[in-house]
Amino acid sequence: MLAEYAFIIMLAILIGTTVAGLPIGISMIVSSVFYLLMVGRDVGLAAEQVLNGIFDNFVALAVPLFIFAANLMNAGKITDRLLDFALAMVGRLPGGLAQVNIATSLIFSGMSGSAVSDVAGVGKVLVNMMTEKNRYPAGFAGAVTAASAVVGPIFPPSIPMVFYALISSTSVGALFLGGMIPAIMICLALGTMVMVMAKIRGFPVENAIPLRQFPIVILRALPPLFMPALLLGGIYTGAFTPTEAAAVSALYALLLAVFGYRTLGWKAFLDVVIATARTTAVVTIILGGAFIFNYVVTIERLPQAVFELFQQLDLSPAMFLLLLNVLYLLLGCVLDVSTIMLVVTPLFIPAAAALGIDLVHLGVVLVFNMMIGLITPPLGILLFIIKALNGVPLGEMIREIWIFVAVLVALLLLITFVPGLVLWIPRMAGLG
Amino acid sequence: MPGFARQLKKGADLVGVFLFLATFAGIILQVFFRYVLDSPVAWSEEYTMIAYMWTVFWAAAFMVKEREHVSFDIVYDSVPARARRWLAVVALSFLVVAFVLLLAPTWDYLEFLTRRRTSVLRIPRVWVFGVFFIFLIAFAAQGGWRLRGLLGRRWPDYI
Repeated sequence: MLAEYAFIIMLAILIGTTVAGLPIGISMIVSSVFYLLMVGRDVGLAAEQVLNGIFDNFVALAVPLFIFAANLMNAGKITDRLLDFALAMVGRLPGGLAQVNIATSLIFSGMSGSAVSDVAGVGKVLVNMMTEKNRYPAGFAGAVTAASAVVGPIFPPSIPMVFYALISSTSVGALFLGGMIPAIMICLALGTMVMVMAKIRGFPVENAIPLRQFPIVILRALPPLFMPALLLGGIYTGAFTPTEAAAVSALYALLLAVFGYRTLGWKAFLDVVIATARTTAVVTIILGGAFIFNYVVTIERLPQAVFELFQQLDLSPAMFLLLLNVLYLLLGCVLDVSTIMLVVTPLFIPAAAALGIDLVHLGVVLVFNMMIGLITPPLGILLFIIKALNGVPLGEMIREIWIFVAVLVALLLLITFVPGLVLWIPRMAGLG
Repeated sequence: MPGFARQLKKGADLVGVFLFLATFAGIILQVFFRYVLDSPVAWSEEYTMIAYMWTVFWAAAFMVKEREHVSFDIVYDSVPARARRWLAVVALSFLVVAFVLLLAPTWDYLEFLTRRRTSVLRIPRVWVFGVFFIFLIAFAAQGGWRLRGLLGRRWPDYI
């Protein structure tokens, strides 16, 4: 009797304890323990699944290393060095500083795999620059920063893509390369939009930098720009696994900050490592919890049930993708990205594969989709971070963000229904 | 924090730093051996993952507070302190009970692992996974401590 309802009771415990504030990764372990007890299995399975799940997935280690690299770059102020470069390139366009904001987001996304580290690093500097002397409305500055930060995990490297690769058995390299065109499209679309808005609202243009200064500006930007080149080149050519690429770029950032720019002292370095070790624990515990939780879900044949449900519905692949997009846009507004990726996504993988949907395409679409959740009011986490870091009032940002959200949703639909935009580069690299 | 506790925390942080850097060094060495010395090594991946396991569960046990983990705090943050107290009491009770129930079976599993060795370095697996047991005890103890505080008279300090 208890065993019959075990799964329902487990879900109730999971949802109940999570809502009551227990960390999500811990809730998954806790509820699984009760499940194993109720069905009369060995409770030690929980330990076994968590431990072996993490230990056997070398690629998972790429996640803390990408976080390490981004933390080092922010602490070493490496990204700030790119500002002059971006200013020289796009500062003279209408809405100059907003364009610079978008451009630096794209460059930074080539070094980091998370949207939060973009906002916390160079985003913070740019909001300050934009709001100085009231040159731009604070709400607009915050909105542009949040909207352009979403390319962080879409352009490689990408933390959610590593998680997706784990649960779908796709290649991290293929996913990374698949995100490149969509990310560039996002930046072009945002840039065009800002240009139009700048004309209408009369936003300032930055002074053009004389042509003879260009070589110096470019030369100064080369050391940080070498990092995404190293990372992408390494993965594209197959010289590095994603985990190795992450470690090598962290080492490069470390050397650049300590010996190149001398912006990172011993104390600051120690703080970066402590912060990274803590984040490592936080994200890996979610991963570990997902291993035992998904083990139970598989025993209960839930992915199979979802698969059969979709078979009965007899959807076309296009309808399936549309439905999934709507679901993920809603989930992305309330749940953390890693949790959705590790817990919800495995339910849909068999159904997607059966419909003939390319799983690399699906991964990029889902990551793009969840990034929109990060900036969607009222709960978009990036808006809260910008408020905390720069003191931009939430209400002003929310007024400005909707149009950006709308443009991103339109782009999402475009890449959903034109898979070639995602799959072209991975196929050229022989990974698709 | 009293001086002694602060020293302990500092020590725990330094161990965490050491473990993380040991993990990082493992991969750097792997790349170094393959491309610079041109002689790839077999042990690097396994060594790195062992250091990673220790980093994760050490940091989870002694460096991150329960409230600093990723949680769904929309509800928790929006209710008054009194309701929050009871939410936390329920959540922590489940945590402590589950983790205590997990202790003995985990010990059995680890004991079984004393006879299993890792494939390259031939280290008994119990040394790789043993840190999980430390994590269970430390995390349950912290949960229990907070639970006790929440049920006491000075509960607002423990929210």
